[in-house]
Amino acid sequence: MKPLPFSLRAALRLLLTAGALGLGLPQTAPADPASRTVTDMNGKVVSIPYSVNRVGSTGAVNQMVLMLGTPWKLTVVSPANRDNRWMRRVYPGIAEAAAPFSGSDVNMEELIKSKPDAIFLIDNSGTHSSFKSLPKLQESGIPVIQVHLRTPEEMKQAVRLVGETLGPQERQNAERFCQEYDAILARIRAKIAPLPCGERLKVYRAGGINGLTSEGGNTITTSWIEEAGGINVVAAAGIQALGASITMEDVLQWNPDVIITMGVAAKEAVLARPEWKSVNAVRNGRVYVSPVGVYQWSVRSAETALQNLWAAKVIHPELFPDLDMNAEVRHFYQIYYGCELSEAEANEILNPPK
Amino acid sequence: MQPTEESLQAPKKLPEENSALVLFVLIALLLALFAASFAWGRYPISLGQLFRVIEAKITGVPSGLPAAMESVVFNIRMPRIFAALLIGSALSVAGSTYQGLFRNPMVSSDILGASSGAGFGAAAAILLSLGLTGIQVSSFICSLAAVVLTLLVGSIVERDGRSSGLSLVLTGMVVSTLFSSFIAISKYVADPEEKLPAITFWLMGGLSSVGARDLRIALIPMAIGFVPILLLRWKLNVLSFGDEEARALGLETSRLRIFLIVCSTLLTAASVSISGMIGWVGLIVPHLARMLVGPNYSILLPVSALLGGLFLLIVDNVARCAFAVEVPIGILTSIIGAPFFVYLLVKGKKGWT
Repeated sequence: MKPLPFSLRAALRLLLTAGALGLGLPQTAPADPASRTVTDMNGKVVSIPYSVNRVGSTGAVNQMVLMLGTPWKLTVVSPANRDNRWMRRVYPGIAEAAAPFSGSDVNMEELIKSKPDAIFLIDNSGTHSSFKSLPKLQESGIPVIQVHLRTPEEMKQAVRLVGETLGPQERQNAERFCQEYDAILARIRAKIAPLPCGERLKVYRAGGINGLTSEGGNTITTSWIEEAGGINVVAAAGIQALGASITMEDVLQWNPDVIITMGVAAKEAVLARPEWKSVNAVRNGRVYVSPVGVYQWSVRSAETALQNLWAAKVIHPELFPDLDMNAEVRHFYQIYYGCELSEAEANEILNPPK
Repeated sequence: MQPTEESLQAPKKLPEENSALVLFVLIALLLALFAASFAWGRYPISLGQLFRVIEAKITGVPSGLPAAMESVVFNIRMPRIFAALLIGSALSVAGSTYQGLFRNPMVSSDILGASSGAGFGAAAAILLSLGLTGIQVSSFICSLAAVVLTLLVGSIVERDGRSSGLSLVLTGMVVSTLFSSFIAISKYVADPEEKLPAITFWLMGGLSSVGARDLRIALIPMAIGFVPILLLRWKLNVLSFGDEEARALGLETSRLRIFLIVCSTLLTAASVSISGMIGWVGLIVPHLARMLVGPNYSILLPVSALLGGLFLLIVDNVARCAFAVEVPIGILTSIIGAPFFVYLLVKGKKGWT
């Protein structure tokens, strides 16, 4: 067999490595110049138009699209995204986007009408309720790119994948974000890594109307709690589920030192109820509401990069005396969304109202 | 007494002879389970510690045990145990009453739209971030509103026709569907990370959010609903014969019917507004009670109340103790309820009137 020419072999190797990493690259010698392929995080090779101008998703991925320099490419969202105050602040044009997604379903006609070039779906491999309309979507011929968002690594990979799908410039911005994400983690780890096990605080992430919904191991929640020098008590108890219903008796037994709630309602429930009074975190006034910007920081969007920083300061304030979260928020929004926030606005993100 | 009459009555009397025994056994079981439930839970408390905690509470002398333990017993287990008993009883009594009123064994406590109304009220309150109390108040009001709507529409539909109750049941289904659509709309616009899971969670039903204060508040409408039904329970026997027979016996049926509907609705609305949707209890417990003591409401109603409380207490104990992740109680009642209902269908109409 004749050996392949060097350049082709190199290109092939590059493609294979990149594919294995889930990065993918535009095909060097496309059979059809109008299209290219990307490899999604399920390892599936997806053919997409050469130039992608109209994309969208059910939720968190939309934040990533807005972040990569070409927010106008976000044309398909969910109603909750469209009405989201901060999404409108960083990109007012979102008000004109189509909103066919709701929960795990999609209005197919509305979606097709909006002519998307590609759709991103979040699939956390069985731990997250899978998208109900996936077969319907795939039949429609609209390219579907699936991402997982469970760890910082997956988060970065997803941002790169979104960037790559959108185009070269966005790919570059994605790379920049990933470097900054790593820099944030490195900053925290420098302070957190020397902490002995005994000083890692027990952290409980409270959600839902009664504060009894939480997230277990192998979720982004566990990841930022651990990065920030805490232990996710739910994960430590062996619970894996996303959106797990926790029993109050377990919470009392775990006796967390810090409670971080998703939403103000959960914090109010925790502070109002007598059964929470004996929990360490409540006794010591260490109940905090997770920040909410363009997306909930505590869950699966790229703003979770900031959550690591915020949580580290909240859990171990003594280690981060100089960390100015307000400035960090404004910096992030300026760089990634091109949006100058006032100090008051950044403060509102850090202390979300009801 | 003539022998023929006696032989006619003999088979009918049988369940009623049992009734005293059934009542006794149920009360004994209920008391035993009530006490035992305090000892069950995910937080390890030994019997000795439990007694010390209770003793400390009664005497006021500190027990020396961790504060968390006292909190588990009095702030978590106690409200939940009472909630399970009360809600189970309320839903069963409401279900029995509706079944008698409409002379239809397939109706349950939420037949007039109370549950869907409550569900929508809760979903709207969650969307508006009204907090736990807001959710309860809103779902209670919407629950009542849904039933009022059913009654209004039902009265228009029934105006010239004969009052059969059937049109009211059908209207109830329509109103339920309407409010279910409102729930769907709320879910459609809800933020998928925070609000949507909260709505779904509420709709699945559960007692984990019920605190002592909520229970005290819910007790008021429950008592207002329960006491009149209990006092008028013998009239339900007459009503279940049908309106004509009841009128022949000198009962003002339509007013009595409305009054009993209002009482049952209060019971249902107060229950679902604090527990979320707990299906099947109001349908199967009345049937179970009827199998035990027969169709006579003077005994059927108390037995339904006891049995309903017992049933929900058992199910809730499973929900809160069995797994590290709490199982929504609505799912458990459906898993138990659906096969049981099939059994009833197979068994046919035996045990009904």
